[in-house]
Amino acid sequence: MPTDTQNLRRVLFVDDDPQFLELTQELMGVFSNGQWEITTAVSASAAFAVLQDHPVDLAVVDVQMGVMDGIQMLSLLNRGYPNVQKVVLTGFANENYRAACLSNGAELFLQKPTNQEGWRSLFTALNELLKYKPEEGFRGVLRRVSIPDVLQMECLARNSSVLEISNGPKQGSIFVEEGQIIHAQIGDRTGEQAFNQLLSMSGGNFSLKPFTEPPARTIEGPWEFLVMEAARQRDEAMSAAAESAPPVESIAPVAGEEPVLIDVETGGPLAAESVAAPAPKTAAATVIPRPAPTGPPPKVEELVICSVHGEVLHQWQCRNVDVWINFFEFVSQRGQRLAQALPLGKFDRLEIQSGDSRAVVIIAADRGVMVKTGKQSVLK
Amino acid sequence: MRASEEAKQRITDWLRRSPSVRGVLVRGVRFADQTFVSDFDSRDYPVGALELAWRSVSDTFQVLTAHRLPPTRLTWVYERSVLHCVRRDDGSILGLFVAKNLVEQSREGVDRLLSEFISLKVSSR
Repeated sequence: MPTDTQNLRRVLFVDDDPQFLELTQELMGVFSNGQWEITTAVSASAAFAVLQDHPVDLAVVDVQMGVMDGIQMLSLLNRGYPNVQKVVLTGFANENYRAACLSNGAELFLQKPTNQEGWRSLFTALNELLKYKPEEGFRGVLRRVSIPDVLQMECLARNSSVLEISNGPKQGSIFVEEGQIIHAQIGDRTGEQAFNQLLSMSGGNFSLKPFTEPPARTIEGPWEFLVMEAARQRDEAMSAAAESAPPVESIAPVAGEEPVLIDVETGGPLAAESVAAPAPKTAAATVIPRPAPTGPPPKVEELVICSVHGEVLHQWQCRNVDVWINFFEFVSQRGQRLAQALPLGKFDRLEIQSGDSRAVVIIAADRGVMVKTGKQSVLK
Repeated sequence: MRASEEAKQRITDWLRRSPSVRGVLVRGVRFADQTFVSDFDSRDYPVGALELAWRSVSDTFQVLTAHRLPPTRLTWVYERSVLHCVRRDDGSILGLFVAKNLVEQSREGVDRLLSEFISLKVSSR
């Protein structure tokens, strides 16, 4: 059997059916003729434990594995292992779920094979995917992964670490030892009270540090319960705050600061707008003050500009920023993959016509931009 | 509603019969059953890469539809080429790769092909 380590591809299959994994390992081993190093895991936690010690090129994941659903697992894989290519393999093919998996980082969404031809097709599809290198691109998921997500990942992988969380003057830490939460502190508070406060903080930053012995061990019990209880308390606090808050008036646009997008090829204006939108706080290469309007003004309906890590630099009337951040990542992945496969040159933008609306998604080296216009758009 | 074998054949015949348009490098149709046909064979556009392209386009239609922005037309703009795509109600997708420097000259012919594809009657009933 060939053992060309240079071309050896490492593939991890995750499924809660050990017999399916056994069959997969056997057949893929035969088809790959020794060119794949195949590992398997029977659960999400086992998969993260494997990934901790054995880097892989491709993770093939079943989406129905009880404790953690496929979307959640894809998010955690994206967060912890952004360079691992991800494929969903399922016996349950629902079109909406397929779309959700694709927009959450899955490169392929495939049906579990049921015959020899199906197994061969599965191998061909995965092997084709392995020919392409994962590209550095838009990784919005880094922003969207929450503190509970990171904790869940650390606990599932039975890691030992310290999660440091800061939000302005507030700073705290959560200590995880071999997958168990053993201590939390913020200010004078410790234990579950501190843990709940840390998980209730909105915004701020967090970072994972190597494990150090905590000053005390103040938390016991299953981590799943702690995370769920903190989420419940947070939901209750948010509901109470919403009930007591005064009604919020819609935000009026700021007049006189209308941006115009510049066509990256011609340097000319790409879109103008009839409705004023506030300019981004940071100067963006693609956005400049608008010159005097020359033609029929189009109507900008939504605008969002994000950093490559998914931080929103500017948004205007965007009804669901997270959806667009997911889509930036999807377009970045697909756009660059096509540029690798075909002689197209560098990916520039995707234009979407949808009924009366039109949207343009631009993935630049340092940001993603989406502008959606109404029927009167003059986008060319 | 997926295209039947007969409908697929009619679409394939239409693709082969349609006059070429200056600037269009490759024309291809991907059907809802994931098979595809192309009217061009080139080392620059190998079958595996085209399969990837059509799949990416199909995924994009599906993801946007799930996000309540069902596209009627997608245009992928690259440094050297532009890929125009439309999807019929039966899930078939027409993709046209156009040389970037001939985008303007090809516009009319491309628009005609795309609208012909959308309105193509393929049912024998």
